[in-house]
Amino acid sequence: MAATLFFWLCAFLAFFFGLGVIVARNPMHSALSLVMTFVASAGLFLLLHAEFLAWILIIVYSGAVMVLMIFVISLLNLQRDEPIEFTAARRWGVAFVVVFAAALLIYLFRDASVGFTYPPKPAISAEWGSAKAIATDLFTRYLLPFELASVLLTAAVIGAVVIARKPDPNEINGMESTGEEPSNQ
Amino acid sequence: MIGLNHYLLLSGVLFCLGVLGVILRRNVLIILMSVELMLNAANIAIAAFSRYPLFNAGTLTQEDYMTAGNGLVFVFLILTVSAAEVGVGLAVVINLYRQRSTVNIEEVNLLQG
Amino acid sequence: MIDFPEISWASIAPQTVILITALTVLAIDLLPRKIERINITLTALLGVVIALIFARNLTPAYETDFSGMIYRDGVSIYLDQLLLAGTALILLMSHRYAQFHPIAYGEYTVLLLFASLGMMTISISADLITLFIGVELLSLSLYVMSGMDKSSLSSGEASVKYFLLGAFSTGFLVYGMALLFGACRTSNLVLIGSAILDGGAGTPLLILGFALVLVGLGFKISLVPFHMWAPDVYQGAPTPVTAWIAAGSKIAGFAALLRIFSLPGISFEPFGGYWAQAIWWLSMLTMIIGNAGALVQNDIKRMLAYSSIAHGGYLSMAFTANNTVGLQALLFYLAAYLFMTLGAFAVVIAVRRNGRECLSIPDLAGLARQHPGVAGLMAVFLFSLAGMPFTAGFVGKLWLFGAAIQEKYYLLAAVGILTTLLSFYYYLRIIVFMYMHEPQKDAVFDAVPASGRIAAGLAAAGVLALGVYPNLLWKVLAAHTNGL
Repeated sequence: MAATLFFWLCAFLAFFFGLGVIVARNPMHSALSLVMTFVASAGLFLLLHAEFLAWILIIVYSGAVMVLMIFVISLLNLQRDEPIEFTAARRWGVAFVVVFAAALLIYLFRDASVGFTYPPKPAISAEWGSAKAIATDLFTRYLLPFELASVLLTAAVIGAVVIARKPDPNEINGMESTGEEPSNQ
Repeated sequence: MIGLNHYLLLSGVLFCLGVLGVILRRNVLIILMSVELMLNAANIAIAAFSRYPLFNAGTLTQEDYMTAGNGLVFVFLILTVSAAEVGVGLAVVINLYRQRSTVNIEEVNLLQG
Repeated sequence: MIDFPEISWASIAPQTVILITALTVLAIDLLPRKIERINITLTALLGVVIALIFARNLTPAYETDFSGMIYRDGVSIYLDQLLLAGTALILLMSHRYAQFHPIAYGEYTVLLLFASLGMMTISISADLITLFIGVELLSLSLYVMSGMDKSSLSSGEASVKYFLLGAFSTGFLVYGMALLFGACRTSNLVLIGSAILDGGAGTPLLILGFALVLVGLGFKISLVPFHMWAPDVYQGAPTPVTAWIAAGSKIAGFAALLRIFSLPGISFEPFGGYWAQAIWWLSMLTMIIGNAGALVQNDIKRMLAYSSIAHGGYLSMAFTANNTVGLQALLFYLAAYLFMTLGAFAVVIAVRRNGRECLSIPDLAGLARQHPGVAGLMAVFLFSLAGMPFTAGFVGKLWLFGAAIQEKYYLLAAVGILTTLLSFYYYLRIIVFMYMHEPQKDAVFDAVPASGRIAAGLAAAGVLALGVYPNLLWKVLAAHTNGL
């Protein structure tokens, strides 16, 4: 009973703040809504017995990544955006997404003849989803993706520094000054 | 009684919200945040599938399920990768802002089409 | 209590060598003394050559390794060698480009090697997780590389557009993978493949998962209607980066599609029914719109962007052919496509006029008069892209259309032939400009350096060799695809 209530609370919060991310006019409000969405998702992970992931989501994701994003928003000193104008292409995009979402709804709530039965909730050991279980998997079975992920992080760090750093004067003027505009059609 | 369907529905709705955000907003940072919303939706879906597996498809037995929750490692790695992606994305946005003093995607249109 | 996986170093040897090379270049670049560009290029090239030697000595092991993360089969060995050859050519081209454009060359080379590592990870992957990390490694490196020319406003714009659309497509890819994982209760591609073969492709969850993965990967290989980013990004990014996006990331994208849709048996079996239909439509649209878009372009890089989109259409025709012939045609055309695209870009980089890049097609006017060798090489590449006989492009297209006709997709093959004829116009137009027009006033084409000649020469050798003697590759392909 408590679990059901908790689920509905987290689901409602996730939906509400997710909506907040995409409709907020001020980017700072969007970022804070996204942080709350992650907190709600962490609650859902707790319900799914994936406690390590829940804490990682809060500590790493909303605690580091989103802080970085908020930092950048403050750095760029962004103000309120203009209201959204609905061009024709945007209307098509929205229509498509609404159709997709409706199809998903219909598919999920039809009866069991569709394709999967309402699956049972299997019993699990107490340490399923704990740090120990994930670490065991990560360092034995998923060793290769783990190492590749570290390569990816190295590449991301190098890339981010290279792109975001202040260019030297001869990087901007260059040995050839490309002041010309690119030729269009 | 909460089951797989509930989690999948929530995940689907969040995914669609993210897609809408990318289509409708013009601020590059908000587009990036919408992409993060999409990835978060996928994470919820994978975690839900890990907890409520569809035993009629696949080759894992109940014993495997007790000890291995390999969907969770998948989520962990997706979190890692998307954190790296956000880092690079913010760097690219800073570069854009330094060159063009805007983060509005509609004002960034030197390359036609 | 903890059982460690079997680690077979041999099967990831090329990838390991590339990783070590990248870290070595990074270390060299960090030395306090200023390092000449040529040393960095040579170190990187040495590493690529060593990796190629390792790749040629690999034998296929038809079982998954690293507890199910990789699958070293013949196709992956072939793709690794192809990608390494492409990396070597791009290094030569970048060396030339960096002479005139201010790019942080050490970091650029490191990121280039990381991008190649990502591509080679895709080619060897047997699990959704490995595939995903490979795709992201490749993409992140390319996002950064396309923005590295800080003196150019369009470079920064290109990197933002590429990043936004790439991240958007990653979202689709990941959600599709989530549904695939859910439907098959495993992220192992071999098991997913056999689950489909056993249970049929009917589960709605599975279909939706595959559709989303197709959308995500379709962005990466710029299939229509996911191609909108390509012309802008190709035009704005530094030219060698454009070349690698055009050639390397397209090959990697097709490799990813191959891994997801056709493990364990190379038979495209999951491509029954719906899939052939979906690919049929995508291929048709891509060929038509890609070729149509190229007709009106005046900028070389935009034209090559649309040409690359169109070639993606021809390549995806192979997926409608539900058999080994289709696979062989695809692999052959990937090799042909690599050489002719990289060759064309090599010429574009090598040729400069009055100290400036040649950006639009009329800029190339009169090239044949002043540099007949280079113009001849460009003509070879353009003929091959168009599909004239005696070039690799011709043989490749013949094979692809033949595979489609064999499966009775007559309309698709017919559209392919018609659009090829259409494409003659915009490829031959460049040749006309090079050979029959007068150079513009006071236009002096600068000397073409050795690196440019070597790169273009090697690519042309590849194109002509494959065109005149395709058996070279045919035997290799037969060997690699016969194991299953």
